[in-house]
Amino acid sequence: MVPKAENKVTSATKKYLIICVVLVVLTLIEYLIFKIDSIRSNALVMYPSLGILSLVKLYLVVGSYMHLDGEPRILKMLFFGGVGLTLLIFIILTLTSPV
Amino acid sequence: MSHSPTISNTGLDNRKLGMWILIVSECFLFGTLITNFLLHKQSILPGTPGGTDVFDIEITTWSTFVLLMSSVAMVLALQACRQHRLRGFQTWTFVVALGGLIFLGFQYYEFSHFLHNDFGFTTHLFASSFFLLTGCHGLHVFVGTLWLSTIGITSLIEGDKWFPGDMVETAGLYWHFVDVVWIIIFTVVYLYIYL
Repeated sequence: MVPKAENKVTSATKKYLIICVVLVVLTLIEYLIFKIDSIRSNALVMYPSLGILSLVKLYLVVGSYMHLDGEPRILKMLFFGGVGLTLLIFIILTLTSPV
Repeated sequence: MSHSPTISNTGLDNRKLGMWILIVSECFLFGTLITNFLLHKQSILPGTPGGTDVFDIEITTWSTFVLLMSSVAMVLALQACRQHRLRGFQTWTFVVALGGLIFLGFQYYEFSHFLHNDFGFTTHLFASSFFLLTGCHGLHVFVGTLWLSTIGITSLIEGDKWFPGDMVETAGLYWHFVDVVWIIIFTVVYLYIYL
């Protein structure tokens, strides 16, 4: 019989490897979207599709590999608060830039 | 009552909390650099090469793949460390460091190719903001590679008695964050630029 702790470890490794495959597939899809001329020339399709793929990849890495999913609320608030402030910096710089 | 010197009054390990605070401050840094890049996306002097003239998406896709793989190796190294599997921990730690070195190699090749095509730091504002952003990221990869190599080498020297779980976790957080930043750079800098 496989001990409980060992079982947990095996399932965690499986999870990491599945996420790895998903990340590689998503990167490949990004590359293919870029390579297909009809999509590349259409900003309305390319911007959101690449953006969504990127966000999914971010969520997978931060949630699973950085284990933020299982961390205390204070760390989640710290991280997402920081991301929110970063977006605010982006908006302020974009709106006030003379460029 | 005894109290662990590494536990802060939030109940969290202060090294881990410190790393998350660093990550948030790095978010501000890279957020500003990415915004700077986007603002200067069109700042290309006539007669000089722009991003679409010199970028090689195949190479960048490969380096993205390498960095993603090194992130997987990092979680496996942490897992091996927590299970006190010395060989596995050492192997995966060096795989991560190797991934970092390969990524830096790709970046060196890419920058040399750009310079060869008259796309340098002072060519125009677009090039300056590009090199500032990707160079800063490359510097972070270099620091991470150095850090993980040090952990791996120390583990080789110290052997069985050395399993720095917290240190590996902190280094892992840093490494994954560097990977996250690259995921954004790959899309925003290398792919959106063609639109």
